Amino acid sequence: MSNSADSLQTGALEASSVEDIAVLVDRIGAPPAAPCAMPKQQLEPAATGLFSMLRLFGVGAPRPEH
Amino acid sequence: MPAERRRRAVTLASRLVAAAISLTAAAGAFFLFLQFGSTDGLDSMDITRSVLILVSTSWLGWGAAHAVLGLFTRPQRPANVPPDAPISTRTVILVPVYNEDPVSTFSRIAAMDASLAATPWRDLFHFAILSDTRDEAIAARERFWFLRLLRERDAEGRIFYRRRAVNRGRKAGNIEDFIQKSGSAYPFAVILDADSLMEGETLVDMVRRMEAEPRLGLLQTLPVVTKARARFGRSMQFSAALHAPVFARGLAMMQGRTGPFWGHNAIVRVQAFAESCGLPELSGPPPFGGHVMSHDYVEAALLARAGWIVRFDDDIRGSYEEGPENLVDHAKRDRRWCQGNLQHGRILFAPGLCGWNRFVFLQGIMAYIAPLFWLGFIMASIAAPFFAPPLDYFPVPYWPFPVFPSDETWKAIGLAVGIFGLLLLPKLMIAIEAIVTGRAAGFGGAGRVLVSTLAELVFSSIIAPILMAFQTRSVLQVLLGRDGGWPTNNRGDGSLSLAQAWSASHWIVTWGLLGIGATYYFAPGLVPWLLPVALPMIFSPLVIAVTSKRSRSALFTMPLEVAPTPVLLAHEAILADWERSPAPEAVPALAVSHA
Repeated sequence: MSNSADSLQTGALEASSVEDIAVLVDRIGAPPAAPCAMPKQQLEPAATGLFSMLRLFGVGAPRPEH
Repeated sequence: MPAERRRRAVTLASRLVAAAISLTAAAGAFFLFLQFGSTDGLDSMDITRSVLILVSTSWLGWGAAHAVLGLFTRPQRPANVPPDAPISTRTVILVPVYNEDPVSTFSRIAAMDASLAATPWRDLFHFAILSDTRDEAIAARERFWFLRLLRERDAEGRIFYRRRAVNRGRKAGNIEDFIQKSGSAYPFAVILDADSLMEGETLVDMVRRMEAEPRLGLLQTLPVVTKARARFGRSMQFSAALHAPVFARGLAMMQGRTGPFWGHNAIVRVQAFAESCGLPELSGPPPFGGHVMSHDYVEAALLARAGWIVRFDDDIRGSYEEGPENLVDHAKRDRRWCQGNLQHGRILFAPGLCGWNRFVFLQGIMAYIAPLFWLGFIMASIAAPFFAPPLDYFPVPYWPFPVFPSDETWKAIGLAVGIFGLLLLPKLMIAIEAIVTGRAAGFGGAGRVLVSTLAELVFSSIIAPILMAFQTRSVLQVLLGRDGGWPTNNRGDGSLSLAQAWSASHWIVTWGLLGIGATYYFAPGLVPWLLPVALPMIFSPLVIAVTSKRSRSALFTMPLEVAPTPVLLAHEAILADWERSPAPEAVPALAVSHA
């Protein structure tokens, strides 16, 4: 990543416009791009499963291997 | 695996002990009140009140059981984690912000970065400030102070800042957005709040524990409340410092592998979190539908559902947060939590959750509806004389002498003593434990701990009816479908004028006066019993205003005030330095006072 130390001097900052600062922050502040899937989970009971006592005790739960 | 079996046995045994304490207390209260109520003949109101006492006392007993478990055990470091083991995993520290004061929040990041720099592992840690700020002036200040933070900490490429255009999903959505875009870069993520602060060594130790247990999905620490200045804030801070470790110890024993997530001051395994914790919107409108408000409990349940261990290590130190400084801010935060917890009713029957997590949801709901049971008991007691059968002094036919009902007042007094015992005894026992173990030294010595404990008991007794009123209103608002929204947390000094306190609590005064008036009219014998509830309600504006003022007393001293830790001192110094800096004048939008 390029070194932006010069543009981080307080004097330079105070003389900058809000727009200039926003552009600078967008450039040097952005976290690394490293996408990661985050699938939505099922939280609400299916209509047929509402009274399933077995499910209440964890039967049928997704169990990933790790 | 013997150690694993032993842990499971401890979890089961502690749950059984807590249930036994709770049920014994509840059954005792139920039968004692039933005997007292049936002196003049059993009626429907006696049964109603006995059931209300049963539920309320079981809840109090359950809380007291946490203290009992915590008092008789000691926190232990996991055996397989050497305290000086090297670490190798890159970790991101997430700091979600929402219209917060950037000077205050970013100075904490600077302090944590400095604290990490004192360890050999700073380069393994990155920070990401995740802004959901909607106020453009505050957002401009965030950007300015972010650049200053980078410069002072020489942190380009280590500390990041991004602001979302749309704050979908609130805090949970904010974190989800980061994980979706950057999650693969970091195996672990520490999740903080804007007011969180952690020692560098604590952050390193959390990574160490995660590395030692590959099945661990989330590790929660116990944040200690710090930096309170007002009377209300310092009282809560003292109570949290003295009592919370003991209650938390009991909680940790009962939770086992299905521990809690309190939304901050915790570390997660990003892969586990990403796979398991994508939260959908619930069907229907808020408050019960829409985004999951109290997402943390749900995320803990989802991790456990997916087979990950969620652990609360109560032996970890160096984890801090700040709390509300006055009763009104406390009630505002509580309104949000109330809605979040009641919304969990929608998730109770989610497929595949562990039984304990469902029970945790129930506990959360109970925590907010419990005051309604007490309120119901008071109202039923006022109405009871109208349901009582007329006294019959000659119940035996042709017997010439009257039969007077036996005086069972002592049973009512015994019951009251028992209930107050459940409330007060755990705190008194914890004070004694602190004296015996030497923990009291940090609180200013044995004498001051005792006096502060007694003062806290009086203080919490005075504010309890006011909090009950706020909680009752919150529950009713949620049940009536009113969404509390996402208000910003107030993190200033919190001082309130009498006028401000009146505007927040005049309705409590009205209900207090109506309650005592109705009692005097319908059941005058109950007036002395109701005064401890009615008087704080009637004087609530005064109580709120007075307790919001800065505390200048040695009461409620806590260890971090006597001996602040390095990160707290670093934060104080950085904050003082930044607050001395002139606000940038060249940019009008930035020239906002940060005092």
